[in-house]
Amino acid sequence: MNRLLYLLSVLLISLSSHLSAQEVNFSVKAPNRVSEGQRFSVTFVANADIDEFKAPPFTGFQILSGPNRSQSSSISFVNGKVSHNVSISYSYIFYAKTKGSFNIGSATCSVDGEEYATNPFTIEVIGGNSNSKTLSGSNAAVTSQSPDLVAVDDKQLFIEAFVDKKKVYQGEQILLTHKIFTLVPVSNLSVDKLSSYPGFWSINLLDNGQQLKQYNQNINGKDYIVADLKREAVFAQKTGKIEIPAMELSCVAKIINNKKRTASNDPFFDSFFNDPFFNNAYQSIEKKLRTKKITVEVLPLPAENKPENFSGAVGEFTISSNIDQTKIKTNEAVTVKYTVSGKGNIDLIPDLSVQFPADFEVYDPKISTNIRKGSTGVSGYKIFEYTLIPRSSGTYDIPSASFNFFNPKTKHYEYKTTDAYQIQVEKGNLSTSSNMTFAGENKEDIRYIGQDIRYLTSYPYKLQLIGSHFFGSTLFYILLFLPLVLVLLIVIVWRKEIKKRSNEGLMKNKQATKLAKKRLKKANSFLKAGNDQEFYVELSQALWGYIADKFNIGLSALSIETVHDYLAEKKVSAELINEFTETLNDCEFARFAPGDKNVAMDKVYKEGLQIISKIESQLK
Amino acid sequence: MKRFKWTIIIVLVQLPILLFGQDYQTYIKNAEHYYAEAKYDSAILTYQKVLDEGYHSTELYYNLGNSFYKQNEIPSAILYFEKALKLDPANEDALFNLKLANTRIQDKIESLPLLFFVRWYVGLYNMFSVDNWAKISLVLFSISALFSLLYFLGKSIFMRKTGFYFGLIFLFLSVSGLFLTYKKHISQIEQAQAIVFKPSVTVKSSPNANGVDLFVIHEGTKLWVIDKVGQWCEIKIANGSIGWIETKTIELI
Repeated sequence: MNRLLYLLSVLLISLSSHLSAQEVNFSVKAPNRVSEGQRFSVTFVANADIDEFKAPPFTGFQILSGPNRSQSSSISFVNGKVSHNVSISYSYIFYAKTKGSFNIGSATCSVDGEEYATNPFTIEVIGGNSNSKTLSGSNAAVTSQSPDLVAVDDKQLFIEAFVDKKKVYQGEQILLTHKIFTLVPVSNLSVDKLSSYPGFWSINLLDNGQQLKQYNQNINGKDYIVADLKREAVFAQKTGKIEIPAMELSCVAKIINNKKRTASNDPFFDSFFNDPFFNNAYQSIEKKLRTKKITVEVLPLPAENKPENFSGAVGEFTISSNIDQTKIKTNEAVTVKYTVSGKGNIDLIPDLSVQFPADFEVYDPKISTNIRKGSTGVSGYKIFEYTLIPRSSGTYDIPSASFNFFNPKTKHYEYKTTDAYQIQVEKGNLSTSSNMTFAGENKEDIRYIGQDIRYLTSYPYKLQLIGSHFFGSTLFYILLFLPLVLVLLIVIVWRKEIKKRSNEGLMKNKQATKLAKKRLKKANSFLKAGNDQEFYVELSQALWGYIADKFNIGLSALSIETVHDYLAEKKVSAELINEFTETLNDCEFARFAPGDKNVAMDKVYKEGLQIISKIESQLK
Repeated sequence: MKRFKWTIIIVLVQLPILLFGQDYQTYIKNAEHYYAEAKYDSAILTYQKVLDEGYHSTELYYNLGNSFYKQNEIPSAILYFEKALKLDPANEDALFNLKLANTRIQDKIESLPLLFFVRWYVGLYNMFSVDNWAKISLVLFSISALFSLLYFLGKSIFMRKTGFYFGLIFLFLSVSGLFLTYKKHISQIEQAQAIVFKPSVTVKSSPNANGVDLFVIHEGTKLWVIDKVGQWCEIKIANGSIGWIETKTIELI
């Protein structure tokens, strides 16, 4: 390396010596050694008006800015000679990304048609953390000048991150502290990296405006000045191994620079200027500091005994409640306060779900959180203040509110409840509801609080075979035609019965005359024998029987009146009916009448014969 | 005689139900317990055992729908509520729960407005299931038969007149009932209803994957199957849009 540098410098020097003052000089200024993560500038300078500047490719570096062109010109008179000096520079600012040595090719330009090129050169990037660079050395020229680096020892100045535990449950509080340890004076602290912790939710425990508190700590026999850079309470939001990223900090350390002074070889001068009294005896060195990464193992909350409505709170908490009054009137407000206090992620405590009586008007709770940031972490309380307005009188129970959380110390879920209250609500004064109309005073619409599907139908219900359809089944057709068939059957049977019955009547009807004639014949024989009693009995029977058979009536139902009616119905003429009834009467009468019996009997007999034949003819 | 016959028929019809019903009583009771204890998945399995044995009823489908709803399986819930309503279109609980379940699906489809008399007509034959319509018609027909007996056998003119007119009225009613039964039967055969089960289905213009995308429907949406070609079926949704989707994405009611 040194050889290379030597060669380069020799080349440069020889080159520059060959060039005369009027000649175009095109050179590059760059540091030959930078540390990783450092910014540095590279400048190409020409002493003439150049036309086409072409930069070489820069590999291994990130261009932060550039090319920035700047131009300066001067005119000088020396011994009557006027010389005109122009200086044009193109500067770049780079950021050294990775370690290693990088070759940078030559830049080219043209002046009045002639091409010029700079020498290629090498920049070495060395490990960033272990080495510091002097602020002044950042623009070291390529010319052979040994780098004047002063290192600040890692033992002298370092930062470190601490956690109070490395194995936590999800949501458990971890105390994360970043400390700086130093033996030398330090200033200009600025955090380069570390703004967030992915996977964690954090609360800063230090006031931002406050000055860093310093204290002394003895480590390995050395008195370090220690300051807490950052103190935070962090809560893991996911499980597994989570890395807390490293913090990067840059600062300026002031160290006594004794190398430079010893070079003067003057013991007196040396000792004089090495005195710390002189400010310039100190050299400010920019140093980058970095903590180690910390891996925290986050355990999931145990599934065992996990409450179904787990609130998600982890820590140690208590809950208390407070009610301002238990005896009130309707339409007056009651305030119920629930206070959850303790150590842990108070901010993440969800709303309490308290089941207030449905008839109460419940307003959204007023939630106030108070977090105390102590050296041991976050503690505090969260107050849920509910305002309730009972709308109707009665005795109401306010059930106890419950709050569950996981206590990482006992490794158990804990369950805390508050007191339950009973509120007596009396009917309020009418004056408070004076604007209410009288009719609507005690009426209100039903308020729907929730919506859900209706409940199951409980068992006794009929099950059907799947695929058995009643419509179109044999049973359906049977039942469809059954009434038809039944009606037909019944009608047919009925008709037949009626026919049968009417046939009997017809028979009697037909036989009525015959039978009457028979009886009349018999009566005739009695007439000839002169047996008047038998004659009349037979004759009246013949007459009555005729009517009974003719009209299908029972003998017992017969009387003069019914006979009259039946005959009238059959449209027998009134004369004939009278004749008939007279004959009947004569029959009855003659049986008991004195006189010539034979003449009377003969007359009645003839009358009977005539009447029957007459009725017969009229009925047809 | 007639009454005796009826009793025999009714007993014969119900005998298998009475006999087998006893076995499933335990299943159903268990399922009700599971449901009450919020073990809805167990309730579903137990109810389905009864279905597997080949028995169904409005209430069974309704209860299954409820269990699926509680399990947050809305398409299945809708399917079973619809099945319950197919057996008994007037089941108020099933109607209510179906309405609630339908509020939880993604698609909101405006039904095609029908002419008022068509709406009445459709509403009329949708009032009862096919079997209930059939039963109603039979009862009406029996009544008309009774009145016809009065007409044929009545002694006085008043009785015969009553028999004649009422018989005629009930005959008309029973014939209308049978017609509606048939109409309902046909409507179920011709317009098989189905529920979409895939979260999102693109309806195509033709029965293949290369068809033009017409519109997208989501799970739980009810549709009517018009035609089937291979693995595809032609469907119609409530607003009247028609297209083709794969048969496997839907479940018939």
